Amino acid sequence: MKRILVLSSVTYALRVQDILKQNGIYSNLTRSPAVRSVRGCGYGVSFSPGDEPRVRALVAAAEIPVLGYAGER
Amino acid sequence: MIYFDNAATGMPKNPAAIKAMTEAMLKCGNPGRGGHPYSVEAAETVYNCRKKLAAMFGSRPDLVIFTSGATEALNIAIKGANRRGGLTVVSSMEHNSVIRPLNVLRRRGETSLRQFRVDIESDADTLENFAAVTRGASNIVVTHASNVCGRVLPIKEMRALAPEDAVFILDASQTAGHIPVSVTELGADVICLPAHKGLCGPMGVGALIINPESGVYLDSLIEGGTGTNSKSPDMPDQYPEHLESGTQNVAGIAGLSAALDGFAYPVRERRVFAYLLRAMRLLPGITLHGAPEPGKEEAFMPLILFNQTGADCETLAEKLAEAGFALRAGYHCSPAAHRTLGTYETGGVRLSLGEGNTLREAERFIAALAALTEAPDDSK
Repeated sequence: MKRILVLSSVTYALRVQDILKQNGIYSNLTRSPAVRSVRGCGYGVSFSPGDEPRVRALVAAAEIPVLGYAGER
Repeated sequence: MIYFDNAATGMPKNPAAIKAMTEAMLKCGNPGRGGHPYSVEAAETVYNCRKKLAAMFGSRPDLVIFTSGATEALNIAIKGANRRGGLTVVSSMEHNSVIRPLNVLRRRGETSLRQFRVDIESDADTLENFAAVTRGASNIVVTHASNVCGRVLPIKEMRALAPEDAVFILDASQTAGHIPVSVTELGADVICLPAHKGLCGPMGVGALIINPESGVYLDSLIEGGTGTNSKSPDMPDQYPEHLESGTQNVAGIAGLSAALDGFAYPVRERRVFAYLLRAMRLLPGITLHGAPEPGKEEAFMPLILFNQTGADCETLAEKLAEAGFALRAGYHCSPAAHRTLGTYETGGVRLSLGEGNTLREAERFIAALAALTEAPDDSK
Protein backbone atom coordinates (compact mmCIF):
# COMPACT_ATOMS: atom_id res chain seq x y z
CA MET A 1 0.00 0.00 0.00
CA LYS A 2 1.24 3.48 -0.93
CA ARG A 3 -0.11 6.92 -0.33
CA ILE A 4 -0.08 9.40 -3.17
CA LEU A 5 -0.07 13.14 -2.93
CA VAL A 6 -1.72 14.53 -6.07
CA LEU A 7 -0.46 17.81 -7.51
CA SER A 8 -1.45 19.96 -10.43
CA SER A 9 1.90 19.93 -12.19
CA VAL A 10 5.23 18.24 -12.50
CA THR A 11 6.85 21.42 -11.15
CA TYR A 12 4.98 21.09 -7.86
CA ALA A 13 5.61 17.36 -7.77
CA LEU A 14 9.36 17.89 -8.12
CA ARG A 15 9.29 20.67 -5.55
CA VAL A 16 7.54 18.36 -3.10
CA GLN A 17 10.06 15.62 -3.83
CA ASP A 18 12.86 18.06 -3.04
CA ILE A 19 11.29 19.02 0.27
CA LEU A 20 10.65 15.40 1.25
CA LYS A 21 14.19 14.42 0.32
CA GLN A 22 15.61 17.25 2.44
CA ASN A 23 13.61 15.82 5.34
CA GLY A 24 14.68 12.25 4.81
CA ILE A 25 11.41 10.99 3.30
CA TYR A 26 11.73 8.68 0.32
CA SER A 27 9.23 9.33 -2.48
CA ASN A 28 8.57 8.59 -6.13
CA LEU A 29 7.06 10.54 -8.98
CA THR A 30 3.97 8.85 -10.42
CA ARG A 31 1.23 9.22 -13.04
CA SER A 32 -0.83 6.34 -11.71
CA PRO A 33 -4.64 5.95 -12.12
CA ALA A 34 -5.06 7.44 -8.66
CA VAL A 35 -3.65 10.69 -9.99
CA ARG A 36 -5.88 10.77 -13.08
CA SER A 37 -8.95 10.10 -10.96
CA VAL A 38 -8.47 13.39 -9.15
CA ARG A 39 -8.42 15.75 -12.12
CA GLY A 40 -7.00 14.25 -15.30
CA CYS A 41 -3.31 14.53 -16.15
CA GLY A 42 -1.59 15.56 -12.99
CA TYR A 43 1.41 14.26 -11.17
CA GLY A 44 1.62 12.40 -7.93
CA VAL A 45 4.28 11.81 -5.35
CA SER A 46 4.03 8.41 -3.71
CA PHE A 47 5.32 7.74 -0.21
CA SER A 48 4.93 5.32 2.64
CA PRO A 49 1.65 5.64 4.60
CA GLY A 50 3.61 6.01 7.82
CA ASP A 51 5.10 9.27 6.56
CA GLU A 52 1.74 10.88 5.82
CA PRO A 53 1.48 13.18 8.86
CA ARG A 54 4.95 14.60 8.19
CA VAL A 55 4.31 14.89 4.46
CA ARG A 56 1.10 16.80 5.07
CA ALA A 57 2.83 19.15 7.53
CA LEU A 58 5.81 19.82 5.24
CA VAL A 59 3.66 20.47 2.18
CA ALA A 60 1.37 22.79 4.14
CA ALA A 61 4.36 24.70 5.53
CA ALA A 62 5.68 25.22 2.00
CA GLU A 63 2.22 26.44 0.88
CA ILE A 64 2.16 24.06 -2.05
CA PRO A 65 -1.34 23.64 -3.52
CA VAL A 66 -2.51 20.03 -3.25
CA LEU A 67 -5.27 18.48 -5.35
CA GLY A 68 -5.78 15.54 -3.04
CA TYR A 69 -4.45 12.41 -1.39
CA ALA A 70 -5.13 8.93 -2.70
CA GLY A 71 -4.26 5.38 -1.77
CA GLU A 72 -2.86 2.73 -4.09
CA ARG A 73 -1.81 -0.86 -3.74
CA MET B 1 38.26 37.77 -34.78
CA ILE B 2 38.02 39.41 -31.36
CA TYR B 3 34.47 39.49 -30.10
CA PHE B 4 33.22 42.74 -28.57
CA ASP B 5 29.46 42.26 -29.05
CA ASN B 6 28.51 40.63 -25.77
CA ALA B 7 25.50 42.90 -25.27
CA ALA B 8 23.98 41.20 -28.33
CA THR B 9 24.90 37.71 -27.20
CA GLY B 10 27.56 36.51 -24.80
CA MET B 11 30.54 34.68 -26.29
CA PRO B 12 32.21 32.29 -26.03
CA LYS B 13 29.38 29.97 -25.05
CA ASN B 14 30.07 27.73 -22.12
CA PRO B 15 31.29 24.34 -23.49
CA ALA B 16 29.38 22.58 -20.70
CA ALA B 17 26.19 24.17 -22.03
CA ILE B 18 26.81 22.83 -25.53
CA LYS B 19 27.45 19.32 -24.16
CA ALA B 20 24.34 19.44 -21.97
CA MET B 21 22.20 20.47 -24.93
CA THR B 22 23.36 17.52 -26.98
CA GLU B 23 22.75 15.13 -24.07
CA ALA B 24 19.28 16.56 -23.51
CA MET B 25 18.36 15.98 -27.14
CA LEU B 26 19.42 12.36 -26.77
CA LYS B 27 17.88 11.67 -23.36
CA CYS B 28 14.91 13.95 -22.81
CA GLY B 29 11.29 13.41 -23.74
CA ASN B 30 8.61 16.03 -23.30
CA PRO B 31 8.64 17.39 -19.75
CA GLY B 32 5.42 17.11 -17.78
CA ARG B 33 3.82 14.88 -20.39
CA GLY B 34 4.24 11.45 -18.89
CA GLY B 35 5.55 9.23 -16.15
CA HIS B 36 8.05 7.35 -18.30
CA PRO B 37 11.78 7.88 -17.84
CA TYR B 38 12.25 10.15 -20.88
CA SER B 39 9.59 12.57 -19.71
CA VAL B 40 10.75 12.45 -16.10
CA GLU B 41 14.35 13.09 -17.17
CA ALA B 42 13.16 16.15 -19.08
CA ALA B 43 11.01 17.36 -16.20
CA GLU B 44 13.92 17.05 -13.79
CA THR B 45 16.23 18.86 -16.22
CA VAL B 46 13.78 21.75 -16.47
CA TYR B 47 13.07 21.81 -12.75
CA ASN B 48 16.78 21.83 -11.85
CA CYS B 49 17.24 24.90 -14.00
CA ARG B 50 14.25 26.57 -12.32
CA LYS B 51 15.90 25.91 -8.96
CA LYS B 52 19.20 27.43 -10.02
CA LEU B 53 17.56 30.54 -11.48
CA ALA B 54 15.37 30.94 -8.41
CA ALA B 55 18.41 30.79 -6.12
CA MET B 56 20.34 33.23 -8.30
CA PHE B 57 17.58 35.79 -8.76
CA GLY B 58 15.84 35.65 -5.37
CA SER B 59 12.67 33.71 -6.14
CA ARG B 60 11.11 30.23 -5.95
CA PRO B 61 11.32 27.48 -8.59
CA ASP B 62 7.61 27.57 -9.37
CA LEU B 63 7.84 31.32 -10.00
CA VAL B 64 10.45 30.88 -12.73
CA ILE B 65 8.66 30.86 -16.08
CA PHE B 66 10.63 29.81 -19.13
CA THR B 67 10.24 31.76 -22.34
CA SER B 68 11.97 31.96 -25.70
CA GLY B 69 13.96 34.95 -24.48
CA ALA B 70 13.72 38.30 -22.73
CA THR B 71 11.46 39.69 -25.46
CA GLU B 72 8.79 37.05 -24.91
CA ALA B 73 9.16 37.42 -21.14
CA LEU B 74 8.65 41.18 -21.44
CA ASN B 75 5.62 40.72 -23.69
CA ILE B 76 4.03 38.34 -21.19
CA ALA B 77 4.78 40.65 -18.27
CA ILE B 78 3.70 43.86 -20.00
CA LYS B 79 0.51 42.50 -21.54
CA GLY B 80 -0.28 40.13 -18.67
CA ALA B 81 -0.05 42.87 -16.04
CA ASN B 82 -1.72 45.60 -18.05
CA ARG B 83 -4.86 47.06 -16.52
CA ARG B 84 -7.17 48.41 -19.20
CA GLY B 85 -7.13 52.18 -19.18
CA GLY B 86 -4.14 52.34 -16.87
CA LEU B 87 -0.95 54.33 -17.08
CA THR B 88 2.42 52.79 -17.88
CA VAL B 89 5.65 54.58 -17.07
CA VAL B 90 8.87 53.81 -18.96
CA SER B 91 12.36 55.25 -18.98
CA SER B 92 13.97 57.10 -21.86
CA MET B 93 16.41 54.21 -22.35
CA GLU B 94 14.03 51.39 -23.23
CA HIS B 95 14.62 48.76 -25.87
CA ASN B 96 12.02 48.04 -28.56
CA SER B 97 11.12 44.84 -26.69
CA VAL B 98 9.47 47.18 -24.18
CA ILE B 99 8.40 50.05 -26.43
CA ARG B 100 6.75 47.97 -29.17
CA PRO B 101 4.43 45.82 -27.02
CA LEU B 102 3.46 48.93 -25.07
CA ASN B 103 2.76 50.78 -28.27
CA VAL B 104 0.38 47.99 -29.34
CA LEU B 105 -1.50 48.43 -26.05
CA ARG B 106 -1.48 52.21 -26.44
CA ARG B 107 -2.87 52.06 -29.99
CA ARG B 108 -5.68 49.80 -28.77
CA GLY B 109 -6.47 52.33 -26.04
CA GLU B 110 -5.50 49.85 -23.35
CA THR B 111 -2.84 51.96 -21.69
CA SER B 112 -1.44 55.44 -21.80
CA LEU B 113 2.29 56.01 -21.68
CA ARG B 114 4.56 58.38 -19.85
CA GLN B 115 8.31 58.51 -20.18
CA PHE B 116 10.87 59.87 -17.75
CA ARG B 117 14.34 60.99 -18.75
CA VAL B 118 17.32 59.07 -17.44
CA ASP B 119 20.16 61.39 -16.47
CA ILE B 120 23.34 59.56 -17.36
CA GLU B 121 25.41 61.48 -14.83
CA SER B 122 23.07 61.72 -11.87
CA ASP B 123 20.89 59.15 -10.13
CA ALA B 124 19.33 61.97 -8.11
CA ASP B 125 18.14 63.71 -11.27
CA THR B 126 16.88 60.42 -12.74
CA LEU B 127 14.89 59.78 -9.56
CA GLU B 128 13.49 63.30 -9.60
CA ASN B 129 12.38 62.83 -13.22
CA PHE B 130 10.85 59.46 -12.32
CA ALA B 131 8.99 60.82 -9.31
CA ALA B 132 7.50 63.57 -11.48
CA VAL B 133 5.67 61.09 -13.75
CA THR B 134 4.97 58.07 -11.59
CA ARG B 135 1.85 59.26 -9.77
CA GLY B 136 -1.14 57.18 -10.78
CA ALA B 137 0.96 54.63 -12.63
CA SER B 138 -0.46 51.12 -12.81
CA ASN B 139 2.61 49.61 -14.47
CA ILE B 140 6.25 50.60 -14.52
CA VAL B 141 8.57 49.01 -17.06
CA VAL B 142 12.24 49.88 -16.91
CA THR B 143 15.53 48.52 -18.04
CA HIS B 144 18.02 47.64 -15.33
CA ALA B 145 20.84 48.90 -17.56
CA SER B 146 20.85 50.52 -20.97
CA ASN B 147 21.88 48.26 -23.84
CA VAL B 148 23.25 51.32 -25.61
CA CYS B 149 25.51 52.99 -23.02
CA GLY B 150 25.42 50.55 -20.09
CA ARG B 151 24.08 53.00 -17.50
CA VAL B 152 22.54 51.11 -14.56
CA LEU B 153 19.33 52.62 -13.22
CA PRO B 154 18.68 53.06 -9.47
CA ILE B 155 15.94 50.44 -9.36
CA LYS B 156 15.60 49.99 -5.60
CA GLU B 157 15.16 53.72 -5.11
CA MET B 158 12.68 53.90 -7.98
CA ARG B 159 10.62 51.10 -6.48
CA ALA B 160 10.48 53.05 -3.22
CA LEU B 161 9.15 56.11 -5.07
CA ALA B 162 6.60 54.21 -7.19
CA PRO B 163 2.97 53.74 -6.19
CA GLU B 164 2.78 50.66 -4.00
CA ASP B 165 0.14 48.98 -6.15
CA ALA B 166 1.95 49.59 -9.45
CA VAL B 167 3.37 46.46 -11.07
CA PHE B 168 7.11 46.98 -11.45
CA ILE B 169 8.62 45.09 -14.40
CA LEU B 170 12.38 45.01 -14.74
CA ASP B 171 14.22 44.24 -17.96
CA ALA B 172 17.44 42.63 -16.76
CA SER B 173 18.69 41.73 -20.23
CA GLN B 174 21.98 43.57 -19.81
CA THR B 175 22.61 42.90 -16.13
CA ALA B 176 21.71 39.24 -15.57
CA GLY B 177 24.99 37.39 -15.26
CA HIS B 178 27.08 40.56 -15.09
CA ILE B 179 26.02 41.81 -11.65
CA PRO B 180 23.85 40.24 -8.92
CA VAL B 181 20.16 40.82 -9.61
CA SER B 182 17.64 39.83 -6.95
CA VAL B 183 13.95 40.37 -7.57
CA THR B 184 13.31 40.49 -3.83
CA GLU B 185 16.18 42.83 -2.97
CA LEU B 186 15.33 45.25 -5.77
CA GLY B 187 11.63 45.07 -4.98
CA ALA B 188 10.53 44.52 -8.58
CA ASP B 189 7.46 42.38 -9.13
CA VAL B 190 8.83 40.68 -12.22
CA ILE B 191 12.22 40.46 -13.89
CA CYS B 192 12.78 39.37 -17.47
CA LEU B 193 16.07 38.01 -18.73
CA PRO B 194 17.71 36.12 -21.58
CA ALA B 195 19.87 33.02 -21.15
CA HIS B 196 22.30 33.92 -23.88
CA LYS B 197 23.83 37.22 -22.84
CA GLY B 198 25.57 37.61 -19.46
CA LEU B 199 24.80 34.02 -18.50
CA CYS B 200 26.47 32.74 -21.71
CA GLY B 201 23.78 30.11 -22.21
CA PRO B 202 22.07 29.28 -25.49
CA MET B 203 19.88 31.58 -27.56
CA GLY B 204 16.17 30.74 -27.61
CA VAL B 205 15.72 30.58 -23.85
CA GLY B 206 14.78 33.26 -21.37
CA ALA B 207 12.92 33.58 -18.13
CA LEU B 208 10.29 35.64 -16.45
CA ILE B 209 10.87 35.52 -12.70
CA ILE B 210 8.22 36.61 -10.25
CA ASN B 211 8.93 38.07 -6.82
CA PRO B 212 7.50 35.64 -4.22
CA GLU B 213 6.57 38.62 -2.02
CA SER B 214 4.69 40.42 -4.77
CA GLY B 215 1.43 38.55 -5.32
CA VAL B 216 1.26 39.80 -8.91
CA TYR B 217 -0.88 37.61 -11.14
CA LEU B 218 -0.21 37.85 -14.86
CA ASP B 219 -2.76 36.91 -17.52
CA SER B 220 -1.46 34.33 -19.96
CA LEU B 221 -0.36 35.55 -23.35
CA ILE B 222 -0.41 32.17 -25.11
CA GLU B 223 -2.72 29.30 -24.23
CA GLY B 224 -2.36 25.61 -24.97
CA GLY B 225 -1.33 22.27 -23.60
CA THR B 226 0.50 22.10 -20.31
CA GLY B 227 0.37 18.35 -19.69
CA THR B 228 -1.74 18.90 -16.59
CA ASN B 229 -5.40 19.45 -15.77
CA SER B 230 -6.16 18.30 -19.32
CA LYS B 231 -9.93 18.05 -18.94
CA SER B 232 -10.22 21.78 -18.32
CA PRO B 233 -10.62 24.15 -21.30
CA ASP B 234 -8.79 26.80 -19.31
CA MET B 235 -5.15 27.30 -18.49
CA PRO B 236 -4.07 26.12 -15.03
CA ASP B 237 -4.26 28.86 -12.43
CA GLN B 238 -0.88 28.13 -10.95
CA TYR B 239 2.57 29.24 -12.05
CA PRO B 240 4.62 28.26 -13.92
CA GLU B 241 2.20 26.28 -16.10
CA HIS B 242 -0.26 29.19 -16.18
CA LEU B 243 2.21 31.04 -18.40
CA GLU B 244 3.94 28.09 -20.09
CA SER B 245 1.98 26.32 -22.78
CA GLY B 246 3.35 24.04 -25.45
CA THR B 247 6.57 22.13 -25.36
CA GLN B 248 9.50 23.78 -23.64
CA ASN B 249 12.92 24.23 -25.22
CA VAL B 250 14.38 21.45 -23.09
CA ALA B 251 17.75 21.35 -24.83
CA GLY B 252 18.12 25.11 -24.39
CA ILE B 253 17.07 24.93 -20.76
CA ALA B 254 19.56 22.09 -20.19
CA GLY B 255 22.24 24.29 -21.73
CA LEU B 256 21.36 27.20 -19.50
CA SER B 257 21.33 24.93 -16.48
CA ALA B 258 24.84 23.72 -17.27
CA ALA B 259 26.00 27.30 -17.81
CA LEU B 260 24.76 28.16 -14.31
CA ASP B 261 26.79 25.40 -12.64
CA GLY B 262 29.73 26.98 -10.90
CA PHE B 263 28.74 30.39 -12.25
CA ALA B 264 30.83 33.26 -10.92
CA TYR B 265 30.20 36.93 -11.55
CA PRO B 266 32.76 38.42 -13.92
CA VAL B 267 35.72 40.40 -12.64
CA ARG B 268 38.11 40.79 -15.55
CA GLU B 269 35.61 42.57 -17.82
CA ARG B 270 35.53 45.48 -15.35
CA ARG B 271 39.30 45.98 -15.62
CA VAL B 272 39.18 45.80 -19.41
CA PHE B 273 36.29 48.29 -19.38
CA ALA B 274 38.22 50.82 -17.28
CA TYR B 275 41.27 50.48 -19.55
CA LEU B 276 39.23 50.97 -22.73
CA LEU B 277 37.49 54.05 -21.37
CA ARG B 278 40.82 55.66 -20.52
CA ALA B 279 42.46 54.71 -23.81
CA MET B 280 39.55 55.61 -26.10
CA ARG B 281 39.24 59.05 -24.54
CA LEU B 282 42.81 59.76 -25.62
CA LEU B 283 42.18 58.95 -29.29
CA PRO B 284 41.69 62.03 -31.46
CA GLY B 285 38.42 62.07 -33.39
CA ILE B 286 36.74 59.48 -31.14
CA THR B 287 33.73 60.60 -29.12
CA LEU B 288 32.22 58.48 -26.37
CA HIS B 289 28.50 58.87 -25.73
CA GLY B 290 27.03 58.44 -22.25
CA ALA B 291 30.22 56.93 -20.87
CA PRO B 292 31.14 57.09 -17.19
CA GLU B 293 33.54 59.65 -15.81
CA PRO B 294 36.70 58.10 -14.32
CA GLY B 295 35.88 56.45 -11.00
CA LYS B 296 32.18 56.06 -11.82
CA GLU B 297 32.43 52.88 -13.89
CA GLU B 298 30.52 50.85 -11.29
CA ALA B 299 27.26 52.53 -12.32
CA PHE B 300 27.67 51.13 -15.83
CA MET B 301 27.67 47.77 -17.53
CA PRO B 302 30.89 47.21 -19.51
CA LEU B 303 29.86 48.65 -22.83
CA ILE B 304 30.87 51.78 -24.71
CA LEU B 305 29.03 53.72 -27.41
CA PHE B 306 31.26 55.79 -29.64
CA ASN B 307 31.65 57.51 -32.98
CA GLN B 308 34.48 58.76 -35.11
CA THR B 309 34.26 62.37 -36.23
CA GLY B 310 33.07 62.56 -39.81
CA ALA B 311 32.61 58.79 -40.20
CA ASP B 312 29.42 56.83 -40.61
CA CYS B 313 29.01 54.37 -37.72
CA GLU B 314 28.23 51.36 -39.93
CA THR B 315 31.29 52.09 -42.06
CA LEU B 316 33.46 52.35 -38.97
CA ALA B 317 32.13 49.01 -37.66
CA GLU B 318 32.80 47.46 -41.08
CA LYS B 319 36.39 48.67 -41.02
CA LEU B 320 36.80 47.34 -37.51
CA ALA B 321 35.44 43.98 -38.66
CA GLU B 322 37.98 43.98 -41.49
CA ALA B 323 40.63 44.63 -38.85
CA GLY B 324 39.37 41.63 -36.85
CA PHE B 325 36.96 43.10 -34.31
CA ALA B 326 33.24 42.27 -33.98
CA LEU B 327 31.24 45.31 -32.82
CA ARG B 328 27.68 46.38 -33.49
CA ALA B 329 26.78 49.70 -35.11
CA GLY B 330 23.44 51.42 -35.64
CA TYR B 331 20.59 52.00 -33.22
CA HIS B 332 20.71 48.77 -31.21
CA CYS B 333 16.87 48.46 -31.25
CA SER B 334 16.77 51.37 -28.80
CA PRO B 335 15.97 54.62 -30.61
CA ALA B 336 14.77 56.19 -27.35
CA ALA B 337 18.16 55.63 -25.76
CA HIS B 338 19.93 57.14 -28.77
CA ARG B 339 17.65 60.15 -28.50
CA THR B 340 18.59 60.50 -24.84
CA LEU B 341 22.28 60.26 -25.67
CA GLY B 342 22.11 62.70 -28.61
CA THR B 343 22.93 60.05 -31.22
CA TYR B 344 19.46 59.66 -32.73
CA GLU B 345 20.60 61.02 -36.11
CA THR B 346 23.96 59.29 -36.31
CA GLY B 347 23.59 56.04 -34.39
CA GLY B 348 26.86 54.79 -32.98
CA VAL B 349 29.27 51.90 -32.64
CA ARG B 350 28.87 49.80 -29.52
CA LEU B 351 31.66 47.84 -27.92
CA SER B 352 30.40 45.43 -25.28
CA LEU B 353 32.54 43.22 -23.11
CA GLY B 354 32.25 39.80 -21.58
CA GLU B 355 34.39 37.88 -19.15
CA GLY B 356 36.17 36.23 -22.07
CA ASN B 357 37.74 39.51 -23.16
CA THR B 358 41.29 40.28 -22.10
CA LEU B 359 43.43 43.38 -21.66
CA ARG B 360 45.60 42.18 -24.53
CA GLU B 361 42.55 42.15 -26.82
CA ALA B 362 41.66 45.64 -25.66
CA GLU B 363 45.18 46.89 -26.39
CA ARG B 364 45.00 45.44 -29.90
CA PHE B 365 41.64 47.14 -30.40
CA ILE B 366 43.01 50.51 -29.33
CA ALA B 367 45.91 50.13 -31.76
CA ALA B 368 43.50 49.25 -34.59
CA LEU B 369 41.16 52.12 -33.78
CA ALA B 370 44.08 54.54 -33.57
CA ALA B 371 45.24 53.39 -37.00
CA LEU B 372 41.74 53.94 -38.40
CA THR B 373 41.44 57.41 -36.94
CA GLU B 374 44.74 58.34 -38.57
CA ALA B 375 43.72 56.90 -41.95
CA PRO B 376 41.79 59.14 -44.37
CA ASP B 377 38.01 58.58 -44.29
CA ASP B 378 36.94 57.06 -47.60
CA SER B 379 33.32 56.57 -46.59
CA LYS B 380 32.17 59.83 -48.13
